[in-house]
Amino acid sequence: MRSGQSCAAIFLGGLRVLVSGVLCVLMMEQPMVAAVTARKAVVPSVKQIHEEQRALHALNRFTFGPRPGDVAAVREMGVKAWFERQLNPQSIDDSALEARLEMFPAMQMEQAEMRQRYPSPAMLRQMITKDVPLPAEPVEHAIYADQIAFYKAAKAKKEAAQAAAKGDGDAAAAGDGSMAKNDEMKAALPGDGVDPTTPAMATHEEQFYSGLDAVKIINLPPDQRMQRILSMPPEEMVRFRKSLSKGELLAAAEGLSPIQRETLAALQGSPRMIGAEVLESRMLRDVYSERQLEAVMTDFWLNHFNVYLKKNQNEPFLLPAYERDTIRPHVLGKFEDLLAATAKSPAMLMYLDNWQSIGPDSQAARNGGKLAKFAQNPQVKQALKDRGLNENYARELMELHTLGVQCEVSADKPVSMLDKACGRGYTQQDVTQVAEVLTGWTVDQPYRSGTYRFEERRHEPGSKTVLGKKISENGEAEGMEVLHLLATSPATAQFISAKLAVRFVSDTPPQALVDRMAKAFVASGGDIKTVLRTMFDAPEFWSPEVYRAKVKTPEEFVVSAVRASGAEVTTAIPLFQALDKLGMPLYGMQTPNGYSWMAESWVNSGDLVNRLNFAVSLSNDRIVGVQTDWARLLGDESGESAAMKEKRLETVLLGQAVSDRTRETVLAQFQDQTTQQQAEKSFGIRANDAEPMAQVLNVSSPRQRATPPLDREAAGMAGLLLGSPEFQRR
Amino acid sequence: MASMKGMTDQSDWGCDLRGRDAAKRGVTRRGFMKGGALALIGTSTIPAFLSRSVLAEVTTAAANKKKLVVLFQRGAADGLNVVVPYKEKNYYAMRPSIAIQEKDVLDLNGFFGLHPAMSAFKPLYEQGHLAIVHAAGSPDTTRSHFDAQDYMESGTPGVKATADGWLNRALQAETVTGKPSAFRAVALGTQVPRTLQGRLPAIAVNSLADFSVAGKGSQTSPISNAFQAMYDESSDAVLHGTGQETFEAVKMLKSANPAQYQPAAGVVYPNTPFGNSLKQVAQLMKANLGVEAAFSDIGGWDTHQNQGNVNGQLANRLKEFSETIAAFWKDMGDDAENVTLVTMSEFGRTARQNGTGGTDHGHANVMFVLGGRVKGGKVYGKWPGLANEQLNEGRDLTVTTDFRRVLGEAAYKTLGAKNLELVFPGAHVNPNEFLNFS
Repeated sequence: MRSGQSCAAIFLGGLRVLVSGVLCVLMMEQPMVAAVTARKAVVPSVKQIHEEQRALHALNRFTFGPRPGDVAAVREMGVKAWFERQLNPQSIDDSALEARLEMFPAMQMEQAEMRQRYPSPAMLRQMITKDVPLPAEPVEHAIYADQIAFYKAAKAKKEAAQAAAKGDGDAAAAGDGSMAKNDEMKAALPGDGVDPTTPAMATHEEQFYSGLDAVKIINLPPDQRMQRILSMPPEEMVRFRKSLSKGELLAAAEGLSPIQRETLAALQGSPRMIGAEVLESRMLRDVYSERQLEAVMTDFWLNHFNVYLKKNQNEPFLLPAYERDTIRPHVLGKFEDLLAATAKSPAMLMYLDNWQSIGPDSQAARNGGKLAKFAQNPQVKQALKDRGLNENYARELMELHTLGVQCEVSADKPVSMLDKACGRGYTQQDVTQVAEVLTGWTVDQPYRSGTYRFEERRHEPGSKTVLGKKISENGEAEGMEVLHLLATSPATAQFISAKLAVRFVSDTPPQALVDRMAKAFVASGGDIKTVLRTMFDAPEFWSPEVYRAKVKTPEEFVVSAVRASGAEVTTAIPLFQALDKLGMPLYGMQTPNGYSWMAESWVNSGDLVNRLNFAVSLSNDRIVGVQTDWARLLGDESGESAAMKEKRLETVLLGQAVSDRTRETVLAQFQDQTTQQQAEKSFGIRANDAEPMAQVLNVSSPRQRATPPLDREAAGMAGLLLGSPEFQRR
Repeated sequence: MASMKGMTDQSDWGCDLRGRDAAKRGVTRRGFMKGGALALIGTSTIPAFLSRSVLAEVTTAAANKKKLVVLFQRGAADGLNVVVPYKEKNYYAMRPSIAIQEKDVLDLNGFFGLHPAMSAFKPLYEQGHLAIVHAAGSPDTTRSHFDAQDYMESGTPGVKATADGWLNRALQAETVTGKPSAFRAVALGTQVPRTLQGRLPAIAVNSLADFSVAGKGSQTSPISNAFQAMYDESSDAVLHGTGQETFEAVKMLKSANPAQYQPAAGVVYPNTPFGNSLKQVAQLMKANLGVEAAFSDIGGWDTHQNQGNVNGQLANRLKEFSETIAAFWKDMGDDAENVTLVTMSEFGRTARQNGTGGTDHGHANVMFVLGGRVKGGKVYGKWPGLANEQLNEGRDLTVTTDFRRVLGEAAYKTLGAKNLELVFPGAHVNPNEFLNFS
């Protein structure tokens, strides 16, 4: 409660006047922040944080957390110069990250190419029904043939089971429910109904394949091995795959080139392979990109324009392009461009259903009525007759993407009660009208290339009225006009600025700061760079009240811990799985509002337990595929005291000193037992008593268990520091 | 070390394993069991957390062994296809392809019928445990999921500034004379929902098996103790408080080991996150950890597109929903007598189907109330009708029962929260106006 309350400043005609004679005491330790439930704006202060804190503060806010050495580097360059450089990501060399991402060839492919090579279950199902010939190219042929063989085997098995248990015709409830199950689905395709974030695990249910034969194949040199696998007839491939244990599966992938490894994984089902690559590459980018502000902003906008990986089996295939082509090029550009890009993105069109919305008086609706007469199946008949509007996207476009819900007009909230920036706000009528405007914005060949297309036949004819403005009949251009109207509304400027301020400044940002950002938004035509610069230049951004006051979200916590530890990530799968456990899976928010940037969503007992376990697992190399090297990080200072080592760890991991209390607690574990053995006794985690997080992670981690850290004392201390209250804030 | 304090017994009375010490303290309360297990544990070895669960008995609900389970269907469930008004002509006219036909519904009373995927609910209704309140909802007319959920969870429709949730305030409204159990209010999931946020601590647990720091042994690990000391003494008010609640809960769980309470014979929970949540609620309750209020939620109700009819998306959801609740009910066995379970969803969906075989955001919805003392087998509330002129804004089922009347009655009768003005400020929920479903 100390923070903020003793200082107060008011703004008079742009002049900041310090009213109170009491100066804020510069806080050298963790600021005590009022209970999160007290929704009170931070009082702006002209008092600024120490010069030497500025680099750390900027890194904490504009990156996913400092790596060892970052603070010094930013100081060297100058905080402002560093920030300007981050605002221009193209000027920053990111080749080290790009080299890492070469592991994922599918992520670099154009969407149509990727989808051709790695077919979705829906596409395969179509091919089976229509008896479409398989592609001639040998690798593609193998991918298709194998998945179809797997499908047929599963179908036969299911039919046999159904025949055995006749009478119980009730369809089983969907596993997760979120993977929409189509009624026509008779059997599972590889990847069907399977959480794409969970790596495949071979089972030993059916041992059709002789173990010896499988081992022979695994022992072949990589190219020959791949050749041999791809040349298997589909039935043999299914048997081969089923015969492999988890370890053998890993061995089978050893030494393969990225594209070969990816192909092998695709044989297990394309959606799962694609889903895992999407998540892994996003995680690696967050950890390793030198263009940290771009990564942070990509994360921000992906959350603002949230889509959901498990919306249906198609969605994973749309995400690489969504992140790479729709979001990232615009994250520091013009808001209107970003908005239009999302409006036309197949990922969003599908997620919020607009791709199916049809003008009730459109050509398509009329044709549907005619076609209905000829339809045999009564349900198809009815569906054709009833085709029409879906207002899901239209509503969220105004409520979540642009104006904000505070501008919604309802019976209980007349226009007179709205914020001034809202103007006349939006009504249910506006929602319906916007939905009509956007009819025809659809996805071409949704299960194949899946690109955006405007389809005139589906478009509702006639003029519409949106937010009191008449939109004359003009096809696709009507939608662009409405998006422009929304993007340039002062309400949108307020809404976006407030959200940015919550992400970067404080859970309760000063309204004066938000107002200035919104003003810059409007004046610059929605230029995101300008808005961020306004925020950076604002005294409120550098006030002691907001310094280290933001609680990290799980994503920020996990990524910042990995970055701080300087760990080498060979596979990011366990990292995105950790986020599942922490309640913040990437692309895993089912609802369109995205995750909260506020502390109250993330400060709770279950979350804390998982954070502590993650911290200990990471520092002790219990997260397989993520390797620390404390000895190297701290340099060879043999014979130094535990206290010295702890002090250096504080600087490395937190960029500043922790509270005396935290330090005492850490040291209390080590001061009387400085030897390796004793540290191990207290902090070594026995294999059969692994911490829960590591246990879960190990199950599906693709690599063998890592060797224990060389410096167990440092690992033990680092685990405590990464789990400390101080590290939970940025 | 601070962590040691927690392990030292400061109690001077005996108590049985369930923490019931009525005989020794000379307190007479309804519902106390005779402490048969008393002899199993000596007074000097009783950890402090057990004496805390003794103190938990002094809240009204704990004394009466009453427990309230609150379930939220996020995304706006289509109430008209959940409890189907199959005698309404206009229902079929407005939903040509998604309506549930009269021949398919599970008839309740000659007018309403359950969706056929909810056969697990039918016996509960017939046995008189399950009550239904139709056309219930919020007086606020927002069509935003997030505002509507927020209003329903805060219990203050139209008021955004409310900082806490209605269920937290309901617990505040109880008579409390000591430090209650860390598990008094528990949410299954990775976050404490708005419903449970507020002054009283609430625990969020996603997986009981993983609710342990650095090692799953029966004792807390040295690392766990070190973290506890660190958070105990932290000046970070928010994290300090959360840390205290967390480590206390970790210790209680280690001692009570709820994993030993596996589902009763013949009880099968759907293997889904929601199914696992209620399975764990049952475990916590059976382990006598002092749970008074439990919360869980289930998403996937926002059926704008291709929602299906007898089969399909909504049917799958309803099957999971009803089978989970029925499994929980059966699992609780005799103790189900003390449980009240209530369900809600932020609003209903349009009476007419939309252009993509789904429904858009509407208004009134259906709530379920299940409990040992519930007068079930009845559909409560005034039915507003589905004729075009009876629809809210010409498109949705009209609200005739404020959701706070339903929740208020549950809080009043189950938790003993008599001060309903505290629970639902400004709502004037009056016991005279209860639906009297229990």
